[in-house]
Amino acid sequence: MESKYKVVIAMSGGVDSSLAARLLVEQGYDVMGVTMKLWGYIDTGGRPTHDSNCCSLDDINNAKAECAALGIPHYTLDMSAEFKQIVIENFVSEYKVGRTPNPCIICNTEIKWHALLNKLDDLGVDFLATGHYARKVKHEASGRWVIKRGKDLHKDQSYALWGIRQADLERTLFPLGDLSKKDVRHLAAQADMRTAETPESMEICFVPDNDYRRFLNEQYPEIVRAAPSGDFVDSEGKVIGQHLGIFNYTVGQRKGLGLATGERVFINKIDRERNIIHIGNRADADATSFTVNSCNWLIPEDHIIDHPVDVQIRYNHAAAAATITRISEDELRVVFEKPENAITPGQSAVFFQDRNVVGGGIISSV
Amino acid sequence: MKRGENIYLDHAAGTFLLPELRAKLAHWLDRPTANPSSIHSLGRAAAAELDLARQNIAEGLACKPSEILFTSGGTEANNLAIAGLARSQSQRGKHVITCRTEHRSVLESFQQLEQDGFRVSYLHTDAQGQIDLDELAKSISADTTLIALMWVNNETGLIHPVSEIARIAGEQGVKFHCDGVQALGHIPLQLDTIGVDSLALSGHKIGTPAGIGVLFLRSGTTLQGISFGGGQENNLRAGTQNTLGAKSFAWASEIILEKYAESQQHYESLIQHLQVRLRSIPGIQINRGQASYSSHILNCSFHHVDGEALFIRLDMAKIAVSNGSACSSGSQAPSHVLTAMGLEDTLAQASLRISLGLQTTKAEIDHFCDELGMIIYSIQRDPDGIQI
Repeated sequence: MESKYKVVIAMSGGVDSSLAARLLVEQGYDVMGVTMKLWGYIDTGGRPTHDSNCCSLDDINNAKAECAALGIPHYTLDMSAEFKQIVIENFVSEYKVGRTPNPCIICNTEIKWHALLNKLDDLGVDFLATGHYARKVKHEASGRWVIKRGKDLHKDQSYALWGIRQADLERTLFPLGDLSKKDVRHLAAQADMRTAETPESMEICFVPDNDYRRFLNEQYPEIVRAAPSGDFVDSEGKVIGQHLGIFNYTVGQRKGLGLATGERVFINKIDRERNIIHIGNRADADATSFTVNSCNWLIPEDHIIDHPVDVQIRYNHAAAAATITRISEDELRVVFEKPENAITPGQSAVFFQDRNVVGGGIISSV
Repeated sequence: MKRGENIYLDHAAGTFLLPELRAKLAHWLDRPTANPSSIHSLGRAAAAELDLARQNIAEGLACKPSEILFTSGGTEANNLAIAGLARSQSQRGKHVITCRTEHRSVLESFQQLEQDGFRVSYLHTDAQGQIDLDELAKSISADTTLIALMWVNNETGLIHPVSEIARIAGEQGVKFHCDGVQALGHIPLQLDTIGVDSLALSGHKIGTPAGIGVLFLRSGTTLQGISFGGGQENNLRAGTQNTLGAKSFAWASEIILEKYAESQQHYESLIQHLQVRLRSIPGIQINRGQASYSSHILNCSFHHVDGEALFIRLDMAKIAVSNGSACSSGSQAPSHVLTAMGLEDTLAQASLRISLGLQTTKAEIDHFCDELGMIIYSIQRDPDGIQI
């Protein structure tokens, strides 16, 4: 018997990963579907009947049914302990210090790739596949794997994958990289898949109502209680109001500040040390330079540092030209050619060359 | 057994159809599902069949036909008995007793009672899952109305001392419900000599299709029904009776009884062989002590093994065993029975419930042990995560 590569497809129960599973089967791989149980509604206080997305019983059943239709096995793996310890703890501690985390990125790096791949070793699996809109290509000069933007630039998810370790990326497949979302929906409908019309999920999975303040209030009341209120100050340093504790706010935020200034004002900066939030107009939040740490390099860093790169600073930001220089052992400075608005500590800065993710890091200060 | 075939060692979940039932069932499949309560001739015929099934089952259990109620299965029988017995006596008292190693259908019935204001005592168990009869006697108070303890544990095979429990309960005037689902076919259930007040049984553990169960309810025991509409089963279990299911149950229990001595020998020799083979696997802990056990269930755990990986690898090798408590999402929670016995979560998660059936062969046990040994060898890690 011809030995086929064994592939695990990580399935959320949505159309993307379900179609990815189908494509892998059609390509002749020996495929097995896996859904990770990352959290429970009981743990996160969401409303089971509303806003349900990934990890609900319905989603697991959808993934199971799609696998049954393909004649491949499906397993549910409980990764909730790892998820809580790594992703949720990070989410909470970042807000605690006034930063704005991106938990999906930590989850990709540490759970979907690293922890899952570790488990797959025990299962004798060759590759991990996901339904991300991204491509894996060889970087000619270094011979390393990098992540190329998905062909569908509206759906491209390469930004969220910068943290994947080289060894993990080597064992990764992205079956949807060359497809558009429209293609995926079309192929799924053609194959009469039950997930063909599942809605897009945009929110953080463990905060299904998008209200992270509610989540923190309910799940970590001790942190909320310990966060003292403090001053909102304007660009001249004048106190113009009181904030309710820095975890409630995000750089660039305009709504829900409770300030009657008569003009549109934004949060420009959260000063955790002094418990002060700086308010100003939109242009006050422009900056050309910031620092990053916790970097991951998909190619050797000497190809990146002091070389031209495009840097993307949030999920829906158009990457802009910049240069990166090293400041210290674990900190780098990114300098844009032109100012960018609302660069937010805690978010990821992702480094691109020729539309390929070559590295990234977490924004530490602006 | 041919290579590449499924090895089914999950008979405590559900058995194969008894081969003798196939022809008997086929004969009835062309008839309409007539309602035994209907006045037409097919309805009357169904009622007569149902009565006959009730009589046959009662004979096998040494009880009266009127003491047999048909349900949809063991879970419903447990639900009905526990809620029904506790509620019908709630004027007298609201204290009930069970233990943590019971089946979910029992434990969750008690949780329901707790929500309704009942006080539940959970007896302690030792590392084998045995209860202490002195503790049982001491926990009975003036307002105690019900004790529920199972006959054979569905995850470990441990046998509770049912006669003694019944004696203690009887002396104190407390009703005793027993979940006998795993006992049927493995222990002689002579209800004229064993003083249980009610007993839950399930058909698909003895070779019928799933969907039929029995609740034995001793004459004179009052029960409050939990389903409404139709007044069937002595007004205790509403809904059109499953006549063919009841017949299947009667046929199967008759066959099981006829083959009892022979099947006990079969199970006994297989489980001995299984234990000998398992003992040579490194890092194994067989969860079977000096107490009495049924010989169709064996539970074992593996040190330094990821439980999820173990089950997936076994499934990939076409082996069907259980970890005792797969939840509806299909993800594995550590078995509540094993954790109640004091096993740590990680060890409880890397545990197998192997259960044998009448069709199980020595060759299957050998093949299973060979595969299991290879899988354990390839996934066992030392405490630092390094492959051993």
